[in-house]
Amino acid sequence: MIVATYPMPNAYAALMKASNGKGVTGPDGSYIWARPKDPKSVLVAWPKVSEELEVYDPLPTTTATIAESGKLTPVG
Amino acid sequence: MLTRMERKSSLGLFVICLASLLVLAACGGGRSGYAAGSVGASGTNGTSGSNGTSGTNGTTGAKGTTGAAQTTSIGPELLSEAEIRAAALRLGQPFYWAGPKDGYDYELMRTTNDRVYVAISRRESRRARSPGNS
Repeated sequence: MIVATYPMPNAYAALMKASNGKGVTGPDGSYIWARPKDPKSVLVAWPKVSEELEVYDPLPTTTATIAESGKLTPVG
Repeated sequence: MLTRMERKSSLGLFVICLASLLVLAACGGGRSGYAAGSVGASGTNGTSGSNGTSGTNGTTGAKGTTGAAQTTSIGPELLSEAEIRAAALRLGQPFYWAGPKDGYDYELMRTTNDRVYVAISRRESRRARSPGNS
């Protein structure tokens, strides 16, 4: 599994817009969306956080499970 | 003895020569001044000047494409939990993971556009990949 961090101002609003509001709300107010054509990746953003995350795993169920688990945290 | 007329014409000739010399000097000096001046090869805007190709703001300068202000790419590096936590402090930019997991190591990579990737891999696969085990 790979967790990618992309610096992005207004990541939350950008992800909402890219998904046309078709994502779901996750832990800590996060917004989660999987591109229909790319179910192995899940995109995650939080309000007032300037990073967008992409979680990738060969198993689509794993990415969704991780994104919705609340385990995605900053390293440190 | 020079006549008054001859003296006058000699003085005039001298003045003309002096003026010519000054004009020539101005032309020649101007050209060399241009080379080393504000727009010259080594001037402010020249090839090696502060705004030039290799200057402070230029392609290879401190703020240029290959200059110090650009993010340095990292890895991929195989790190332990402690090592990746230390890397987070060292990098000075936030990046995420899915938390520590027993028996796993982490592969860290950063690109020049500040994207950070953390891959999780079983510790056994690290040993399998080390020299002598292939």
